[in-house]
Amino acid sequence: MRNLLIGIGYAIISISTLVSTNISVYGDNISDGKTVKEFKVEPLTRYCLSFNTSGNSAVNASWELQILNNEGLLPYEGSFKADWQRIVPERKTYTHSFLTHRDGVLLRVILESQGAMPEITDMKLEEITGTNPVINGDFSSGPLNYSGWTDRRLAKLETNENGETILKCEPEGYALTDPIPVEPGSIYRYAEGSHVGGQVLVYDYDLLRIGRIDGYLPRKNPFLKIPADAAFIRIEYCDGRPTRVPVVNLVGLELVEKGTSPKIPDFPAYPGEIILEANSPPPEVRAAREIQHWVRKISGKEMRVLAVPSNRDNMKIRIGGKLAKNLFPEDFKYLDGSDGFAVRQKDKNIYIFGSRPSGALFGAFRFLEKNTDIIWARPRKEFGTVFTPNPSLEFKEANFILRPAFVKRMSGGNYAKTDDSGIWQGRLGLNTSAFWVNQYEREEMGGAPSFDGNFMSVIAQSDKYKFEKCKTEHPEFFIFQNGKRDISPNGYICYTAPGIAEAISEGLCEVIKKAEARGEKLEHISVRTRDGWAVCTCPECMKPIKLADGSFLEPKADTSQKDPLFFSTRVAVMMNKVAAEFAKTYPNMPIGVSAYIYMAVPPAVKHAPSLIPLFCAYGVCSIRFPILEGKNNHCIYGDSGGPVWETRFREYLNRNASEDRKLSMFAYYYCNGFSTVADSAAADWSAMVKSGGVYGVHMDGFSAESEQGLSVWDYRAIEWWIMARLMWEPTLDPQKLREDYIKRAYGRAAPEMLEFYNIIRKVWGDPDIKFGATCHSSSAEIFETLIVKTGNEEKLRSILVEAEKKVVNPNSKILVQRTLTAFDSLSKSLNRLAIPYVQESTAEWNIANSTFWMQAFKLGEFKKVSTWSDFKQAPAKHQTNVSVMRDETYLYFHFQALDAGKNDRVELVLTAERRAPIYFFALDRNGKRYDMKNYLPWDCPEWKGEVKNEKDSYTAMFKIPLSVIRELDLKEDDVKLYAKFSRLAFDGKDKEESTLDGTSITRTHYMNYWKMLTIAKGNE
Amino acid sequence: MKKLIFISPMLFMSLICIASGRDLFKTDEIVETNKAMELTKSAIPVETGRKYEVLSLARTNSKYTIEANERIRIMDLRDIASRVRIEFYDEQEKKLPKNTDINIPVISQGFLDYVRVFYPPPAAKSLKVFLIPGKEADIASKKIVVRTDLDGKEAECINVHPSFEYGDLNFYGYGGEFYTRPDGKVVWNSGFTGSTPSIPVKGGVSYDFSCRGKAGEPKSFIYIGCYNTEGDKPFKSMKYGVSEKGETVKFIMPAGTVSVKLTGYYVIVEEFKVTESKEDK
Repeated sequence: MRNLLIGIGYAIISISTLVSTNISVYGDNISDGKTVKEFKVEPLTRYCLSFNTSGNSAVNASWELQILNNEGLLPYEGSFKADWQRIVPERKTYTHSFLTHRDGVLLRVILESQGAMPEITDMKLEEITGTNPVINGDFSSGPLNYSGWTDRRLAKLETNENGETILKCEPEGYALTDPIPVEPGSIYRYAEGSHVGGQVLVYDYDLLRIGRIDGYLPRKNPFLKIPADAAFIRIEYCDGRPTRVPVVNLVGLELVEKGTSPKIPDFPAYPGEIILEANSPPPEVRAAREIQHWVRKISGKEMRVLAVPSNRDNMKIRIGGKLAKNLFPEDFKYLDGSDGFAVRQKDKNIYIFGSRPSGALFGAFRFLEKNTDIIWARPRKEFGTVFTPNPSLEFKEANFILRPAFVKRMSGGNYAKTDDSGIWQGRLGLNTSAFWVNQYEREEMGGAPSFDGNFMSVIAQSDKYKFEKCKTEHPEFFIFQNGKRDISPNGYICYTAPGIAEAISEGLCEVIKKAEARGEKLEHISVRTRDGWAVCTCPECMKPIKLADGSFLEPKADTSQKDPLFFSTRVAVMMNKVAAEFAKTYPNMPIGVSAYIYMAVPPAVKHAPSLIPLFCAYGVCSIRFPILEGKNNHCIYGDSGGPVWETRFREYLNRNASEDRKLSMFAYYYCNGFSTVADSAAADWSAMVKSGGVYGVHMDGFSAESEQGLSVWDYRAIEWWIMARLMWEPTLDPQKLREDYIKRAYGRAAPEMLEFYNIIRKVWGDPDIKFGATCHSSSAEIFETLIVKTGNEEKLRSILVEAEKKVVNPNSKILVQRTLTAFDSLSKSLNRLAIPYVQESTAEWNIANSTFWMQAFKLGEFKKVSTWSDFKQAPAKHQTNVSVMRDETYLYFHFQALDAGKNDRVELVLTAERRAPIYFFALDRNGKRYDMKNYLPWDCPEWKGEVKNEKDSYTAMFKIPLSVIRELDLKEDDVKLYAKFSRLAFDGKDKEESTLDGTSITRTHYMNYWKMLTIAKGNE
Repeated sequence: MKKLIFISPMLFMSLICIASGRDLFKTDEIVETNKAMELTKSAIPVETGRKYEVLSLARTNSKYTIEANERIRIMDLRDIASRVRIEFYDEQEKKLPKNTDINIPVISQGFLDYVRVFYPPPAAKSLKVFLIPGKEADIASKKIVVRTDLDGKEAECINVHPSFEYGDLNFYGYGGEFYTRPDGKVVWNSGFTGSTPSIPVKGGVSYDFSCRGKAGEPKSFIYIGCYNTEGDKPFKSMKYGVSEKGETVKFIMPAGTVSVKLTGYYVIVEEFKVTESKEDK
């Protein structure tokens, strides 16, 4: 197999051979210890530069490539200056392959030496004409040549046992191909023998990463279709999982189908430039590209990112710490240790920087926001960003600084599922994610390296405590329950086993050392229990715990549900030992420790100052009000009520206030409906800040945006946006932030949308509405309680309709329309159907084609019910339309049964409420009637049925007195009843059962299997 | 004995593949009645822990038939349908309580096989078979067989009706519904949830549970619920999978288990077998 691959590799190499072309040498220059050679080049063309050295090459000699445009400017992407470009005594031949940028016309080769200049001979520039567009995709230039692989970390070229050069990416590393120009709509596939495990990242004209190509499957879908907005792609090799090390020996692409040649835009120049030093770190590159991209989008003008400033007298936006370090020492001091940012102006120079590269990135976003009306309203590149085009764009706000209150601003949810999500979170200033395994994207978007693990997974970081060893050598480390140790990988632990604290400390040290070994400094580490209530009940763990005052805390039960205080304290005692042990090696490194499940109860012993509790009201505390307000207490799962969460939170805050320590929160501020939940978050987080030191916020529920249909972002986006802001500045007024969001996102419809959210805010914050919404509350429950029952449904909808009429900006329009659709969807989810009162129904209910049936409510699209097979609720072959209307006394149902079978019947099931009697009515094609009550024979004479039979269809009409549903309270203003609609069709071959929702008529136990019908009082 | 005055022509072919075994009682006599009538001439001795089968080729002129109303399958027929009833008697030939009776609804106007395989209840020493006409109806039978020492799959497994081969009208005892596929195979669709009848097992003994079928929805699953002598609710449950090629798992019954049931959520089962694990025998 290996031989075959080698053969294939050579085949690819053969199509990548170099072809000499007539390349003019402009000339040589020698000055200041540098030799400069110049070549004329064409834009977006692949070249290979080669040269030999002779004589004694100097140590510390190197070469640099600069590709200038026709204005003599050096764009950032035209600068190739890297460590591997060294000339060393033992090598005589050198090559460097590259792609010229979109307006590159002149290659300048700069040879530099700190000693004597080596003698360079036979320097040649040849165009690469092979069909593989990946530069150095076959690594044939050898293990010292990183041509084509400019961006990489912890990735290196090696020679394998067969003498081939391969690329290896370490677990936390990555390697990217240089940009490959592509045509939108074109289709590629990997060349035979190529490594196919990479991510294909998509870049736009400005070399801004805008997404990736998903859906590639080696067998089922071996094609890479280039999206319409792509100008370049890059293939990234990175796994992120510690056990996976991608080994790449060939990256080859073949063009399968040509796309459309991209129209090269001819944008006028913006009077300014962005300056970014060659080889800047990914967040700073991203910062520059974001500014370039949005300036072009907003102003319609082009601002180039240059590696070397021009000598023009224009505005220069200088990105990154290196360019500002000596100019703003006080700012660097203030920002030290954070990924805060500063934007400063000196004359025509604007500096955007942080004490670390992420600061420049977060600063760039804020710089754009402060100088334009742009908003990254939600993570959808098609419509999620809103701005007003402004050809006169100016940057007047260029003097501000911000250090985030929370060092760790973490999102939960499947971060990396879509690129849009990751990019959006970076733009909003979040910096960690538990699910973020793509190291390049994490680094590029400002994410901080972090570690979080449960107790046993931390212990297992050390080789001597790997599970296989630990289970035999240290069974005492595992939880003791029901008379025995439960030994399982990543299992629960014993808190008092001799050496357990040392083992956890050693595991944490191991994690940090491993990171250090790969050149990375972990910024956050935390350790937690598994996601459960299990606790060790070994005799030692169950012993009374001695407290600071000399008294003892006795266990009251052997489960954490019954005695959370004891077990929370037991864990704290152990963690304090861990902290002491860990501090011997890393005295200044804090450890996050979960205050979760039973540990949410403040322990009776205080945590060591280096431990940072992550307070978590684990999703069962209502989120409608700030915890400290004590209004949430009517909704406490598993507790009898009372101020449980308030008391717990207050105690953590008090401890935080009384000592020099820090506090974090794992938060659940989201729900399945419209809310103003950020108000609660703001109050809780600002209380944390006011109490003393804070460290991190982990926001659960930041799910990735769905690219299909509606998503929770249609009602959560605004609050998440506000909370992302609050993670930086928790004392800001959330309502002011909401107003800012609304103004930017909805433009001319802002007044309506503000009115909409003000009403939501009013009901959300109304303590008289006894409803404890949590992140688990159903969307129907929230909508019904806060919007329907408060009488606001109609008004809110009309506001959205009005907003839709007024909105102008196309993306704003989509946002408003999606809000309205989400609103309607939530409304519809209540499965209500207001039955229209039709006066003439009394007389014409049994006339199949009466025009008065047109006033009835219509339902259709029956779905197949699972019977002898699961038909997955596919559309029924025999389709049925149902109409419903009423008068004062009767309900009328009209079933139009299309494509009727020989034996065919339609059925109607009604009930007043859950667990009430179920009434069944049916008519077959021949007019035969059937009924049941609670599945018993009924023979009710009070309802009537008529059937009009046609050749291929029939219409069955039911007249059902409301009085037969005896459980209905007809005195109510709004009477609700529930219905199911069904059809049995048998055409002689196949028997088909279908219903409106695709579930069997016997599935009645949950009300969401029913369609809710409502009858408003009166005749309206 | 009254002759049936209204019975439709046979609408259904009897295609049921019935297990054979040792006949304890058999009659091909045609009987028709509008009142309860014993078919077995005398009590047939039975042993608890042994499998028996009662088969009746029967029909009725009741309005509660499949020909008259397809939805008869979901109707509660306890007090109205014509039925074949099996009654059990103790050592003193005293009838065991009513809740030990087995009623097999006869819900066709044409003759069809109505079959029940069962374990006699504790204390049962004999059984009798009756024809019970439904409300204002007659019932007719032209064959009654009582068997034991069953062959085939019934001999192979501890549970009854392992592959539902007795037709989709013999669904008594199961939650959910039976359906006949176009190829004639009967399957059990558990719907949201449905369970098998109780299957006798012993605590501490290892059993193989084999299930072949389809998961109806992503959230589909099946589990074995273990019951002791005390309650109606399982005191322990063991979850396992379902697939078209079949899944077999071995479970050692917890101490105190006297019976188990398979409960399915959104599954369509073709066959389900419980056998004692061979190596543990």
